[in-house]
Amino acid sequence: MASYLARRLLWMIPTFLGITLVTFALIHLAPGDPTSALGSPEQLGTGGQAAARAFREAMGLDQPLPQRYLRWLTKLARADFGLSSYDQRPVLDKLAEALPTTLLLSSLGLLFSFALAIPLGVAGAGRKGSLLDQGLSAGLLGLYSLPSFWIAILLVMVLTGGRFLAWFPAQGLRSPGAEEWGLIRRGLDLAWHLTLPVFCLGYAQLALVARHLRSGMLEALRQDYVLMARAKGLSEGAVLYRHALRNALVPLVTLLGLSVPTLVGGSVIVEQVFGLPGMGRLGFQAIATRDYNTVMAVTTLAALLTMAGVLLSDLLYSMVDPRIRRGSAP
Amino acid sequence: MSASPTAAALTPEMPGQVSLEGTRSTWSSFCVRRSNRLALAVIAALGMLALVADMLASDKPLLVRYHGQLFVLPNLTNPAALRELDNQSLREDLDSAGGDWMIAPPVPYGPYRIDLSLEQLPSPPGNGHLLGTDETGRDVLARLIHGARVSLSVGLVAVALYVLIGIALGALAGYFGGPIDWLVSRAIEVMLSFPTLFLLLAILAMVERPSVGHLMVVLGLTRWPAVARLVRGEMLRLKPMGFVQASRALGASDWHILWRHLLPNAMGPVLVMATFGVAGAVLLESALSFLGFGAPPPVASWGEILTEAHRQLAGAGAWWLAVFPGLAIFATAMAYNVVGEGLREAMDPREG
Repeated sequence: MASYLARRLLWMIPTFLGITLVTFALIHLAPGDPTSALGSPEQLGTGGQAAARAFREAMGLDQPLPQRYLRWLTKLARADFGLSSYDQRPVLDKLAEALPTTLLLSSLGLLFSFALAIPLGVAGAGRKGSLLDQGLSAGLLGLYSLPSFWIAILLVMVLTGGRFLAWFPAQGLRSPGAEEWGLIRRGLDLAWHLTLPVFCLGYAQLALVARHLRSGMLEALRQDYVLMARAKGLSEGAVLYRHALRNALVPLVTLLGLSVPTLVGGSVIVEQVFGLPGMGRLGFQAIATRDYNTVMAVTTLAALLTMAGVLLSDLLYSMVDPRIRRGSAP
Repeated sequence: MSASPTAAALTPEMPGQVSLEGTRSTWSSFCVRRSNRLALAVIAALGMLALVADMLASDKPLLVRYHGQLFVLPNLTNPAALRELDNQSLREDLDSAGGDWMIAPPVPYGPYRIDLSLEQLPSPPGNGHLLGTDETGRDVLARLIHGARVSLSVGLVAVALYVLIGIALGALAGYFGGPIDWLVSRAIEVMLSFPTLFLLLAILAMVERPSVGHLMVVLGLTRWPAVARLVRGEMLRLKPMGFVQASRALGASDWHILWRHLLPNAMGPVLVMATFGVAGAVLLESALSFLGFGAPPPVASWGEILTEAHRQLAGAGAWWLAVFPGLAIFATAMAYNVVGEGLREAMDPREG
């Protein structure tokens, strides 16, 4: 196991370098640099041009690209993302504030999607071709086709006051004055605020996972050990849940890791509509204000989270399926 | 496939060639389901809608006799004599005693026409606007019809682009292996590590003035890894098979084997992925437009109308701005997803 882990970690190095290279190229190959926003050389005059040159030298922008990349990489190794050009605060502080919200939102979204997807996928596969299965399949495909920002807008419109019902808060993470409440009441308040965002973030994932699980279950139900289980007279429930599901869950482990970019990407929209102070909103605001340091930091962090997710699901996979460990690295 | 067992033994299946019978059976098993046929019809209807958007919703009539002069399709030609006029002012200005007449399009508003006669903005459905207007007084239905152009063209072109890139890279990596495979595989891993929406936003933010063309290119250049991974896997699966070895033994070149044997056999799953991909691209385009990084104003796009619905939420809540464009996006994505699912089932020999 340890050697497998070491091998996997080694394989992550080129991927990580690739990620940083793409992020770096994204920012630095774009036309213009921070000084071009000041005006054209004619507008700046000789004094302005000298100031712009001094600024470029101070920021290291006059150095060749490879050198700048190395410099950025060494700063990254020290978790130094520089200052945000929006409010001159360290990007690291802003990230630290935003990360918990997104992690909470994503993990709840993941939990919601997998917890519901498993019974739905099993129910569909258990009665393949039945009315229930057809209805579930159509419904899940429909769920998968719904744009999440549309659902978010409709939910806000219908359920958060305004014209219709006022069941949920429209914005933010906690009610005003919640700081003075007890732990339980604060927790309930948080859950109340997170219900709609988690649903919006998770439902597409739910549809995806349930559809994958259904086909995995069908594959498992064709195997001999299911025939065997049925032949020895096990109940249908035991066949489905104890024998087929356990094997159908194995490929789902991979989906777990691949869900991370989807969830972080989806958080851009959900956090924007529901006004939640997470990484999605931070990243979106950074993009809208061309705050390059923050854009780079959020993108790198999101990619790192994905790599961690993929590594985690690979490890889980090798735990549940020992054949993987013996093969070569993927 | 064949009637007698001896005939079957004499004419072994040639997986290297797409047999006509196989194609027909995929097609016919696809058509068995009514929902598949319906979804295909919806796709065709949406395509037509986008093509003839100018005939359905326009400021100018389809045919008009104005002061004795006949104009054919002024909605397309936009003749100088009628430039200052729209359907409404034209109708008021018609000399009906002199034999003037006009045929207006079903929706007598173009996507940019601002109706100045309305008192309340955004105006709810009614008042001559079937689906209401937005906050500047533009007809929602007209903008939806013209928005189909943006959504569908972005969806189809972007997917075509990334499918081509994905096939090329995946085939090279899977067939030749070695350093090419290593490089392509790392590139796939790197690209799949970025949250899609975030990467797209970051790239589009670099563009001075994003246009519909930029959307297509950026989507096309970032979404290829899934296709490349699929094609690479298919190459690895097919390469050791007998018909490939036989072809090689007969002295076929790499190019011939790739082009004539491997790629045709990998096309099925790629087609399925591309169909799902169109739905995904339509959803992504609308999400980007919703966030303000899509087609530039005043271009009509489904996501952009939803942005306005979101802005209006704080006030009275203009439900018609939220409901109709969302339905359009949903119907388009659903139609492509149903067809994708239908194709997948029809090609899967184990599905019954």
